Amino acid sequence: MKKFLVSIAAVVALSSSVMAGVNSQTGCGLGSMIIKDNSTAVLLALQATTNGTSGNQTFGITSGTLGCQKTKFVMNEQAQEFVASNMDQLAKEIAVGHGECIETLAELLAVSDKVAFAASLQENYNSIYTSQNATMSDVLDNISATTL
Amino acid sequence: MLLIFCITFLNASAHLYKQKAQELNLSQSRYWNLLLHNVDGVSEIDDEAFFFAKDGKSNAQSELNDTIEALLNETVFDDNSTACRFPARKAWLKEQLNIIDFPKTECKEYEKVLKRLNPKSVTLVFPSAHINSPASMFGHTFLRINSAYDSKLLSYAVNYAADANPDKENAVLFAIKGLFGGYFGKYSLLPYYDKLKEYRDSEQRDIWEYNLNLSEEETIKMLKHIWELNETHSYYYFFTENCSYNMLWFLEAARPEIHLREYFNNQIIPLETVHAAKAEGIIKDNFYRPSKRTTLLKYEDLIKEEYQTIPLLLVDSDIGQEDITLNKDIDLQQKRYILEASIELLEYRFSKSKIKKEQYLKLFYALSKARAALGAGEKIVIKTPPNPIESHQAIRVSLGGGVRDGESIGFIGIRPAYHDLEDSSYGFLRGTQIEFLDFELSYSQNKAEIEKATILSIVSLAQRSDFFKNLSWRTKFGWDRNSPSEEAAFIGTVGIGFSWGNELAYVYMMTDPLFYLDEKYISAIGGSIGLVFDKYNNMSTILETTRRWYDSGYEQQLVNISQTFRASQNVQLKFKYDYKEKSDFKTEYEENSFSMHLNCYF
Repeated sequence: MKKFLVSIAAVVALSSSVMAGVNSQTGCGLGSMIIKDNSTAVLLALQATTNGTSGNQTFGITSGTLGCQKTKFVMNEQAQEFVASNMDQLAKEIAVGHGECIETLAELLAVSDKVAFAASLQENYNSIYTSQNATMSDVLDNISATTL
Repeated sequence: MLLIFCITFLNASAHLYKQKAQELNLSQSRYWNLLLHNVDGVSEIDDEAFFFAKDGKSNAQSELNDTIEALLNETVFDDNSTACRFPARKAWLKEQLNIIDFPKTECKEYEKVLKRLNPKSVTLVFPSAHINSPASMFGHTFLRINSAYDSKLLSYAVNYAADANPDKENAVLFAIKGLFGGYFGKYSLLPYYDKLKEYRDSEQRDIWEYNLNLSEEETIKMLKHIWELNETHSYYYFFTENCSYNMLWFLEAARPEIHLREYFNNQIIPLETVHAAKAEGIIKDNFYRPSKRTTLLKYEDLIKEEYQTIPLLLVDSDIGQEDITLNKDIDLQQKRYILEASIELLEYRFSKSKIKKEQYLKLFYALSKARAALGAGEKIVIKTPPNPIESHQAIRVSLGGGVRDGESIGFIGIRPAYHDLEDSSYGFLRGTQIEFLDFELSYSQNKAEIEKATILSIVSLAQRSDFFKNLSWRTKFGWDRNSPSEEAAFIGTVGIGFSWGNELAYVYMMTDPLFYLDEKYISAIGGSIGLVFDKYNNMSTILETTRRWYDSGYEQQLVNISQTFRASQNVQLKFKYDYKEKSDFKTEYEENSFSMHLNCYF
């Protein structure tokens, strides 16, 4: 009985989360973050973590740069992958002048003075992000040209 | 001739090793049984590919023999070889039996993953509850494998999830199958930044990282074993064989001396795995990552009252960023905060599909460009809140005594899970409650009665702010003594309302339609006003007054006041006053109870 009742409660909690419908928009440009459909607000409110996955995830290391234009400058693959996957967060941090993504990028590019790097990125914001449609390769190439 | 000789030789050596393994009684060793995920001699892995012996799932000895056989008589020598698929088994057998004549194999895939992960240490990650979703308190835990990089963003998360596509399944069916093992659970490795996007940014959950004291060697040992589960299937059970449970196996495989699974016999609540890890002494230190919501609330704090709505105006495009940057009255740091908050808010809106991508990109670009032009500023500092690891545990046993209408009365109660508003909120999300099966009996005048028997109760009081216009809600199903009649009756209710708060306290107003199933069905609508004073970590004061209007025309007043003290992590003292108006067969009367309760949590 106990298990049954707990189960009923959890069915409510679970079924709601199912409707949340996560769709991950991957891309090489800005605006590729996880979007949650907010249509079922009441049900969503009950949401529990179901951990349903749409099947595609594997154990291998998948590259986040699939389909992205490669950088002109020689750049390590992991840096490209990181930037492609963190476009919005990185842009925001560069605008603000500090943050974990900047530090990570500095580490990947073997930049020793992280503080100076962050300041320089901020200063060069306009040349790094030349438009709202900037992609990973633009960003990294522009960083190479202006701050490295 | 040579070939035949070799085969004979290998067979002979396999035979010798098996004999030696038998002498050493290896099949009964803890580590071998860990590698097989054996519980009482039967493996929890539900996949034939995981076993070499036909009866491998239930026979550790024959699985050991057949594994030795397979390792020494490889038929393929690439990623599909036994050695490449089962690196932990191989390493252990090599060590135990001093095997030197393994065939040469080349494990490209594994080496690639090992190189990328570059495992150095392990962190147990707990995303805490998200607002308006107390069910998520049950949360989730996963392991993060830290690399040699300083940046934790470059580490990988070991993810375990039911292999099902929620979008393509009937929602109820999905839930039922998830609960009762209708899906296979599957492991994957994901970059940690992807998990952060999911939990911290999209779901607005604060994240706690508990760094474990596993060594590099132990971490690699763990990874080898995780690798063995690659592509294998096991049934996924929401309550028992869930994400958090499987992490326990991995940690034990990393260091067999730790016994985490023994802390659990029934369901596994993810936070409880953190408590178990603490008890086993494997947590070294911890790190807190505020959610996007927490960050935005901090900005609300930092931005002066008069500018508070500006970020909203910017995101709605009611004003442009130059209205702020060119404004001479606003000081520079305030401008920075305003623009930073606007960008965060914009991202939040976008992640909730409340703004189109085109519009988002345009605004994001304009706002971040404007912010960059203002140069470096103050970094926002978010104070680390009480750590969930210090919060009370799930099972509550309570003893109480007091006076009801002049007669002495005793109480005894038990609740398997999990947290209510009157429990110490230390380490929990403010204003949330979720309770399963809360039972309490009272004893007075030689008579035992049901005081309450809650099946499920959820409360989510989400404080409203300039940026977050949350609704609050609550629901309860079970028996309580708040009905007009004297004895406990079954209540069902779902209500909504609002809540506001500051660092001192929060208040709420709720409207709760409800029904009672007593001897007959009665319905009512209730209105409640409450105040929860929770500034101090070790005490809280809760007041609630409720007026109910019944379909019979009867009106009822209920008042509930409690004062709680947190004596330690798992001990709490509570003083309660209860006032209930009652009406039985046209006689109306009042009931007053004073009581004191001792709550212990396990």
